[in-house]
Amino acid sequence: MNEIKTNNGLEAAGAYDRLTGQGGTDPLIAFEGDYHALRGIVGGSSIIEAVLKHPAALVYELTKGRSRSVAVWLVLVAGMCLLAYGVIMGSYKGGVMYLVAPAKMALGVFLSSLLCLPSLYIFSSMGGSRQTLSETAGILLICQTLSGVLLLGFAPIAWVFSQSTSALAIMGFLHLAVWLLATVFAVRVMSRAFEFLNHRKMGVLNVWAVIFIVVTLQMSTVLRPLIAKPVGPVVETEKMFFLTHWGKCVSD
Amino acid sequence: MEKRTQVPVTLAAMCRMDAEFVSCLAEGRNTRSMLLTALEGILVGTLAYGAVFGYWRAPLQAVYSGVKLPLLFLLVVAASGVINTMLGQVMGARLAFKTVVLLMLVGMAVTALLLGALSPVVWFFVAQAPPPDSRVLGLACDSVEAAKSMGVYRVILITHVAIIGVCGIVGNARLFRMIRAVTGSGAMARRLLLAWILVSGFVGCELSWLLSPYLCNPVTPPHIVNRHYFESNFYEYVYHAVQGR
Repeated sequence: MNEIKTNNGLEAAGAYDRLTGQGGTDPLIAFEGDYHALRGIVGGSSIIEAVLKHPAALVYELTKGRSRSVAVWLVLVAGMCLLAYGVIMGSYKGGVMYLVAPAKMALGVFLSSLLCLPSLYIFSSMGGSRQTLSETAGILLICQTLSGVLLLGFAPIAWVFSQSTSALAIMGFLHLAVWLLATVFAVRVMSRAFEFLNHRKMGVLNVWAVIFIVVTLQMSTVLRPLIAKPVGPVVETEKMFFLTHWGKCVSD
Repeated sequence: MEKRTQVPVTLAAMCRMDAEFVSCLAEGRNTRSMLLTALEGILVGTLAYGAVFGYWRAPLQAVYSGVKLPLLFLLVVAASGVINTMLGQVMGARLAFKTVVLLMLVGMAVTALLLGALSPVVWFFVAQAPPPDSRVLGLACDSVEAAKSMGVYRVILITHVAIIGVCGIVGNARLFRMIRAVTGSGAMARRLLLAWILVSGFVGCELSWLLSPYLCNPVTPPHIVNRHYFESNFYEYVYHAVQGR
C-alpha cells in the first residue's frame, strides 16, 4: 500500500485542529491507495479509465506531476463526451439540432464551471483547502470530465427514449435527471479529492454543489432551446427563471 | 530569544484560518501584513459585489455601488473600533485597539471574500431578470405602470440583502473563532461578539442608510447618495414606516 506523504499542510491542519477543536479524517477515503502517477503515457483512454477507476491518480498528476498534459487531455475528453451527449440530445428533433445541441451542451457546462470556480476556491479555502486556484480548477476539471464520461455512458439509454418519446417535457426531464445523477457522482469524487488532499471533512463543498447545480439549471434556460428546434434565433432572448421555463414546458 | 520568521499572510491563509495565522493574531505578530491582507480582501470582495448590486439598475449604479460598498465596510470599522475596544476592556478581555480593529477587519474581509466569490453567480442570475422599464422613470413607486419593474426590483433587493446577510453570518462565525483564539475563552468570545455585533450593527444600519441606494429603484435615476436621507436617520424611518406614516 502506498504511504500517504505527510506535509506542512497536514502539520498545519493538526495545529489548526488543536487550536480550534475541529478536524478528523475519514479513514475510508478511497483515494489512499491510488495517489500516485498515472501508469504509461497520458492519452484519451488512460484518462477515461483513470477518471472512472483511479481519480486519485489524476489528482496526483495535476498537483505534482504532468499537470499540463493531463489538463489538456481532461479538457479534450470532457469536451468530446459533452459534444457526443449533445448529439444524442439533438437526435430528438434532428436537423439543425445535431449541431446546435452539442455546442450548447459544451458551452453551458464550460460557462457554469467558470462562473462557479471563484466560489469553489473561496468555499474550499474556508473549509481548510490548501490548493491554489489552478489546482482547484484542475480538480473541478476532473469533476466535469467524470460527469461527461458518465453522461456518455447514459447516452444509449437517452437515445432510445429520444426515438420513442414525443412529449418534450418528458425528454427534458429525462436529460435533466441523467445530468443530475452524473453531477452528483462527479461532485462526490471532487469532495473526496479535497478531503484526501487536506485530511479533513469539507462539508462546505455540498453548499457549493447546490450553487453549481442551480447555476447550470439556469444556464440551460439561458441557452434554450436545448432539445426543441428553435423557432426564431438559435438562443431565445426572453429572460426567464428556470422554474418558470419548466412550468411553461409542462403546461404546453 | 529566537526571532520568529515573518510569514507572509495571504487571502487563502486568512480564509483557511491557518494555525500560523491564528497564532500571529493571538500574539500580535505580523500585524502589518495581516492588516494589508484584510484590507485587500475587503476592497476586492466588496468592489466586485457592489458592482453586481447596482448592475440591474444601470452600469452607472454599478460603479456607484462598487465604490460605496467598500466604503461602508471600512466606515463601520472606523466608527465602532474605539467603542468596541472599550467594551472589550470593561468586559475583561484586555484587547488592544490595534488587535480589535484587526479582528474586525479580518471578520469583514471573510464576509467580503465570500461576497466577491459569489458575485459572478449573482451577476449571472441578476442578468436573467427583466431589465427596468425606462418608461417608468419619474413615476410614483406605487403607480400601475411601474408595478412590474418595482416587483422585480424588490425581489432583487431582497435577494441581495439575504446573500449579504448569510455571508455576514459566516464572517461573524469566523470572528467568533478568532476572538476565542485570542482571548482563550469561549464565554468571553461570545460576550464580546454579541457586544460588537450590537454596536457595529447599530451604526452599520445607519451608515448603510446614509450611503444608499445600492440598487436604486427603477422610478429614480441612478444616483450616488440621496440627500434626503441625511435629514433623518434609519431608525426614525423604520419607526414612521411601522406607524404607517
